[in-house]
Parts: sequence; C-alpha cells; structure tokens
Amino acid sequence: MSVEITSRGIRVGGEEMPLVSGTIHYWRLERDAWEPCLDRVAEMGFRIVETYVPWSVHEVEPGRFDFGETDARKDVAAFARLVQSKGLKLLVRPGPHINAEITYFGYPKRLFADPRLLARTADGTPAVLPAFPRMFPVPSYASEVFYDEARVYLEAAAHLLAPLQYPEGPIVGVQTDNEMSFFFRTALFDLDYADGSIWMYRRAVERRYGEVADMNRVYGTSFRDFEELDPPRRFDPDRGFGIAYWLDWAAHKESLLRYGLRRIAEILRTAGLDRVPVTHNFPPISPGSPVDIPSAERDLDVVGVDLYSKREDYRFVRMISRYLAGSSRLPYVPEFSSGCYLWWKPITFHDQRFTTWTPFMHGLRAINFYMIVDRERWYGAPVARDGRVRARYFELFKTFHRVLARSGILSKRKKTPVLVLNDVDYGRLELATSLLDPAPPIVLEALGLAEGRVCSEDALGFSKPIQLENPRIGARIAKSLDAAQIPFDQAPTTVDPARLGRYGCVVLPTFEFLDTGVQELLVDHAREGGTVVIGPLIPDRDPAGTPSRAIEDALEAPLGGLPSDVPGASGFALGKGRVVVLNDPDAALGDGNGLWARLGIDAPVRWRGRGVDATLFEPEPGAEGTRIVFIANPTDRAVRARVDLAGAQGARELIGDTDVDMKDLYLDPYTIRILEIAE
Amino acid sequence: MIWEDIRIEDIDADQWANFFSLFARAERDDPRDAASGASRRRVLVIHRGGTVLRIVPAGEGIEHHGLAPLADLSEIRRRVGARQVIALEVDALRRIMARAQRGFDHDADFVDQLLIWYEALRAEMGDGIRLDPPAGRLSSVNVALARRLFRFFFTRPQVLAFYVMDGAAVHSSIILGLRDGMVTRLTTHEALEARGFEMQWGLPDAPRIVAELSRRYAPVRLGVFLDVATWDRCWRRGTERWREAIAAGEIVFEPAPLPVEFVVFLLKTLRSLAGRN
Repeated sequence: MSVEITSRGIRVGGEEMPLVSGTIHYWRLERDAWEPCLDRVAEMGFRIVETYVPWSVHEVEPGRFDFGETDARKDVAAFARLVQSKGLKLLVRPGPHINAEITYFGYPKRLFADPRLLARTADGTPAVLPAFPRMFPVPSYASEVFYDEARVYLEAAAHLLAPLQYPEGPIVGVQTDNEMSFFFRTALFDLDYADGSIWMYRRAVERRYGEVADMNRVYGTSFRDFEELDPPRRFDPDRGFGIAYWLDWAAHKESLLRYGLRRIAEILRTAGLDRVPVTHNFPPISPGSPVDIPSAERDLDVVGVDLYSKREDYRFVRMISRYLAGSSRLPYVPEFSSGCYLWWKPITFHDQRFTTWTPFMHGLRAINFYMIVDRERWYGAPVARDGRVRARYFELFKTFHRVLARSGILSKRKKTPVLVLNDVDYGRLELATSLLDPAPPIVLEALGLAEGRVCSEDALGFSKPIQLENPRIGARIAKSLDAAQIPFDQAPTTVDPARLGRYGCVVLPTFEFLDTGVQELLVDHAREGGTVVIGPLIPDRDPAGTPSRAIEDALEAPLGGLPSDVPGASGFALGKGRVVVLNDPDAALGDGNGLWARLGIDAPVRWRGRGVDATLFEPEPGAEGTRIVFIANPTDRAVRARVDLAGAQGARELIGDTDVDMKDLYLDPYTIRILEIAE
Repeated sequence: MIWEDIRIEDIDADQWANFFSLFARAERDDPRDAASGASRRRVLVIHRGGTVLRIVPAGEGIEHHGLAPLADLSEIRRRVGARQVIALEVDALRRIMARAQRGFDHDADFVDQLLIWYEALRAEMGDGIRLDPPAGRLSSVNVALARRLFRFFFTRPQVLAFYVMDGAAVHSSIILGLRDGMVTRLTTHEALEARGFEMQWGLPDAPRIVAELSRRYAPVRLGVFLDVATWDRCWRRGTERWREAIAAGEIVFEPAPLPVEFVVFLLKTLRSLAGRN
C-alpha cells in the first residue's frame, strides 16, 4: 500500500502529511461552484478534502445509478479529478449509512419495506430512528439481505472510485459506514434482536462455553441447547442470572458492530478500494460498550470519535481526546464541528474558536472539519455554497494551519506519565443495569433529565454495586490527577498491550471480578518495571465466576514506606515494578496525601490560575525542536495565570504571534493560548 | 405537512444561536423559580411498583436515596427542592417505545410520525409517568383537521416570515416556504443578505423585506416583525403584553391580515375609551 496511516498522520507515497481535512458535499453544490469552493479550501491551508458518496442520492432504481450521467452534480469522478487538479487529496465515505442530515440517512427508502433487513427491538418490532424530516426503521447489520442490497451499490461506487486511488488519482482513504452505534440507540436491551443477530449471539456463546451445561452453570439458566438460548431482553436482577448472562449479550453487540464494519470494508476492498487505508468514525458519545476503538482498529487502519461541542463542553472534549490518545494508533476526530446541523445545540464562532484547539491540547493528532463548505441543512462553515468566504471562519482556519505547522505538535510527544484504564466488563455491567433502558442516554441528556447512565443500586451479590462504584472511583482518580496537574490518557482494557509500555503508571479500578487476561496485562506491566494502581479490591475471579487470582498470586513482598504510609493504600513489589492497591480510594486520593508525588509521578508543567488547565509537548527523543505549552481557560471568567516550566527562558504565543510573559498571562474567558518555549 | 425533501439552507450561525437564546433567556429568568424557592428545576424519580429505585437531579449527577417507598410526590419535591418531580415507572419508557414502534408507519408524514410517539406518551401519563405539580391531561391532537387547515391556507406557494430585530440589525429570523399544504423550505435572512439585500433601518424595513421575499420565493402570507426587547418583555409576561405590543405597533404584521388589523383597531379604541393613550 503506497498510502498508510502513521502515528502522526498519513504517508502518501514517500511523504508523511498531517491527516487534517475538511468536508465538502459535491452533490449539494451547483457544479460550477465546485471549483471556487475548492480554491477557497486550498487557500485556507487544507491539503485534503473529504466527502460522502451517498447511496440514496446516486440510486435511480435498484441496481442503476446516476454518477453524473443525468445530473452533473452527481459526477463524483469529475469531482475527484477536479480535487486532484487543485493539488488536493480526497477521502471518500460511501456509507452505506451516512446520516449527513439526508432524509433516511443515505439509505434508499425502498429498503424499509423489506422486513428481512430491519433491526428488531426486544419486543420484536422494527426499531425506529426518530430522525427529521422522516423517521425510519433502521437496518440490521446482521442481515444478509441488507448486505446483499448494500453490496450492489458499494461495488458500483467502488468500481468507479478505484481507478481514482493514489497515485493515479487523489483518493487516499475510504471510510466504512458511519457512526456505527445502532443509530445512537446504545441501550443494551433495545436492539438488535433480529434473527441474524440472535443466530450470531448463539454461535458466540457456543464458542465461548463449548457445552450447554457449562453455559447454564455460569448463566444460572436451564436451556436445553444453544438453539434454545434466548438473549436477555431486560435487566431483571431478581431472577438470579449470573452476570455473564448480561455481559455476554453486551459483548455480542460490540462484536456485531465490528462485524458490520468488517463486512462493509471487505466489500469495498474486494471491489477494488484496496490501496488506501480504511477508517471509521464512532459517534460523539462517551466511550464504552458498544464503542471500542482498540478492538475496531484490529480490523481497520484507524478509528476515531466525532465531536460536536460547545465551549462549555471542555471536559467532555478533553475526556474524548484523552481516550483517543490512549486508545488509537492515530488519535483522530473524523467529524469535528465546523458549524453544525440544526437539530443540535447551536455552535457559534466563539465555540469553534475555543474548541478547535482543545482536542489537540490533549493529544489529538488528526482531524476532519465537518463541514468546510456550507450546504443545505447546515450552518457555520467558512465557505458558503457559492464559494463566498465567511471572513471570521476563514481566518480562523488560516490561523489554525499556520499555528499547526509552526508548533509542530503533530510530531511532538505530549508528556503523559499515566494511563487510566476502563474495564470493558464493568462498563458492560453499567450498561446492563441501566434503569432507563431502552432509552439511550443521549436522549435523556438532551432532555436535561440525567447525565450519564442511571444504574440500579442492586449489588448483584458483590460487596457494593460495581456499576455505580466503578464510574465513581474512576471520576475520583481523574479528579485527583487533575488536581495534581498530572496529565493522563485513557483506554479500555481491550487496549493493545504494547501501548502500556509508554506509560510509567497504569491505573485501573478493580473489584471482585476481572478478566484473567486483563489481570495478566497488569501483572506484565508491573513485572517490566511499571507502577500499577488498582483497588479497592484485588480480583479473585473472572466475570464467569471462575476463580482467577493472577494479580494476587503475582504479588511479592509488601512495600515498606511509600506508598504504604498513605492512608487507604498498600504497596507490593512485583518483578521490577510494583502494585499499589487503593483499599480505600476515597482516603488514599484525598487532597492532602500527595499520592502521585509519593509514587514519584511529577507534573511535567506547573501552573496557577483559577480553573486553568495546561499540557506540555516536547520533541520525540533524539529529535530537535522547541517545547510547546497549551494553556486553556475553560471558564466564563477572565483569569490571570502563570506557567512554571524548568529551563524556560521566555515564550511566544503562536495564535496571536506575540511574545508573552509566562509568569503573568491574561486569559479571556474560553481561550487557549499556545506557547512556544524559548530555552 | 413537512416535505420529505425540505430544503434548509442559508442559516447564519450567530442568528441561529440567537434564535434559541430567545427561549433560553426566557426560561432562565422564569420568576416561578424564585417564587417557589426551588434550587432545581426538575427531578426524576424512578420506581418499580412504588418502590423508589433512584432519584436523579437533573443536570447535577446522580444521587442515591436508597430503596424507599414512593411517598407523596409533593413531599419528594419539597425534600429535594425541585420545581417539578417526574415519577417514572421503570418499565414506562419501554412501553412507550414499544407502543410507538408497533404503530409506526414509515410512509407517513413527519407530523403523523410524531403523533404516534405523542399518543404513546399520552397513554402513560398519569400512570407510568406522573408529575408534581400535576400537569393537565395531554389533549388528543386532531392532526387530520390541522392538515386540512394547512392545505386550505397553504395550497399555493407562499412564505411565512418571522424577524426579531436588534436595532438596525437582524437578531434572528425564520422564513418558511409552503406549498401543497407542506413546509418545503426553512431559511433565514441570510438567504437575502447573501444575495445583496441590505438591512437599513431594522423594524421599518419590514415592507422591503416582504417585497424581497415575495420577489425571490413566493408571496408572503404573513410576516411578523418585532424587536428583541419587545420579545423578551412579552415572552416573559404573557398574553396581555402581546396585546399591548400589537396595539402599540411594536409588533409589525406585514402584510397586515385583516383580523389583526381589526384586533389592533379594537384595542386602540378600547384604550382610547379608557383614557390610556
């Protein structure tokens, strides 16, 4: 492959370039507007553009497509050639799901008349997506009929686009589907109870347990064979099922999403789009089941998470960015709001000026601005549909490209000593115990009724309800690290084990059960010299209830002194490293204890200023270059701040391109300043 | 009533945010909050057969109140300091979704589709969903009648316009295009400004705006123009203020429909008779 994803962007031929792009929808523009729009995009500094290639737009009748033969605006090949003539590269997203605020999300309406390809709810009805301007029943990604239909279109599109791949053409990447997440209906017992999905679930359970008797023992059920196995359809703690019954259904749903991504990617590759990386974008929801980036990247080249955020959402953007930095081979936001669709909270220029830099501050390395040219059902792009420029936005992007190049942050390393892991099984339990199932959290948040999941308080036989304790302790750890000004990344426990070596310290809240593989992952990290922080309990079984004491069995002598003199904590040697158990996390993480400092984990940069946040980037070992400090004021009040960084002699602020005094920085509300450090 | 391929275009980001702020501002300043002494607007009580499972303060994370019996909702409202309590039986959302999806028709108009969800919600009100203070019963909506009226009034191509001014500039605007009883277009003043139309005086520009919209799209059936200060005052204080603002000419209808002119005339006459010129 002459095009490949790297940890810093995309290598095209011999050149590694930033994966920084902007979206333009060719079919929504008049044909004679393509050229002026592309010229303006290039003037802003973009080198890559991105577009959907929608099924419903191109399909004239089943099996017959208009790729410009009738309607000149639909000539995607001509658009690609024009992109190439402007010296730009192109990412294509042929769906089949595209959303794009198109009626029916890019699926031809005729599909919905065939019940064989529809997803099913726990009650057996088709699952309806309440979308404007028409609601529709969503397809099942376990349906072979659906893939048969989609293949006809995807092959037609791929045959057209394949000759336009680099180096003959401008195409340097293809995306499989869009925001794969059961259409935002992420509640565990909502979708997908279609026949194909249940068949796949039974096969997965059969592979896992081998014998139906073993399954029944773990589940607490009495099915006679795997064909009789019925998936859970609601959380019902009183029936005495083993938790594996719930967790395995959640695991199946995660694998069903990955299956869908893989199937579509295979169709595209087989049809000729096989010389460029395959990407995907998960929707802008909190990471956790069913979204799992490390697992998805085992099949695809890079997988990101979309973001549509206001400036007040700083913490959410930071959390997603940390998650991407800890999980993905290239931390990537495939859709970052450049403007917004109308049925979301309004995103203004002031939001965008602040939020554009926030993910980069916390480790993002690739981005696609959605949309860079305006279109119907959208507002706020820097270029209007006829090629006119919206001056403020246009200048924002010119500055963005200038500062990105000058700072060199995409080739620098964010100093991050800690990785906070989130165990996928605890996340699945959280999902299973939601009291608002089948309503997805995104709906309740939008109505202002709840933040996050609202879980049952049932302890399910454990000492405390893990589904409540896990997020609570996770939040407590994050708060403690933030208070100590220690940057950290986040990842699920499905993370590539090789990544753990980048972090001196790995933290994971642990309870009675933990997958044996995850226990061994932590043991290996400590054995190689790392610090592992767990607790409040040392696991003694796996999720199926089988005894599993990989951590406990590996622990060596208790450590004297640090950190055992921290209240609520105890330490053990393990190989070249150590394991610290937070037996009482609330006590151990108390502000006055200085837990992290006593573990030898220091803040790479120090700052003062109410509500202020900062991160430090430095050249990779052996590379030359300056250090960069991001400092953000994510509050609605102006603050004075100071930055203390060993060896710094002065600083130049790159957005405003002025020298600044690091000891006395004035930060307007919701501003980020990027300081290039003079040594 | 809403076209499947409705065109939504030429939206200015700032004015779109302004449009939402019209309602948010009014809610933020709601005097009922201060009057009730409530520290929270809304609290969600999830229960199973009367046994409280969780109490969830809106926007403030999750609180544990243990497995207590579902007491009088007014008592819960007072205890947690909320303006409104929503008691949700744990299976109510499942029932609503199941009922709505069973009756779904993907060929139906969006308004009809919404109505299916509305009826599913209505069936749970007072049972799976209870409110304190109690809300009046949700009324049955006669969509067929609404559709007939829509078709009657909006058969020919025409435009409805709503402009909120901020001095000589546009604060926010909504322009709807209608045809065959359907809303076919949603746009804003940027659709005009992008093509060279310049606002000159604010509210007094109403006739020029209407003429331009009529020239560009279709005859304007009704345009409503008012200043943002007028909006704030009327939205917060209710019906009487709207009447006064109309009578005082602070809300401009262009072209003025006969019933409104008649109402304004009547109000002015009454005010004159009452000696309140």
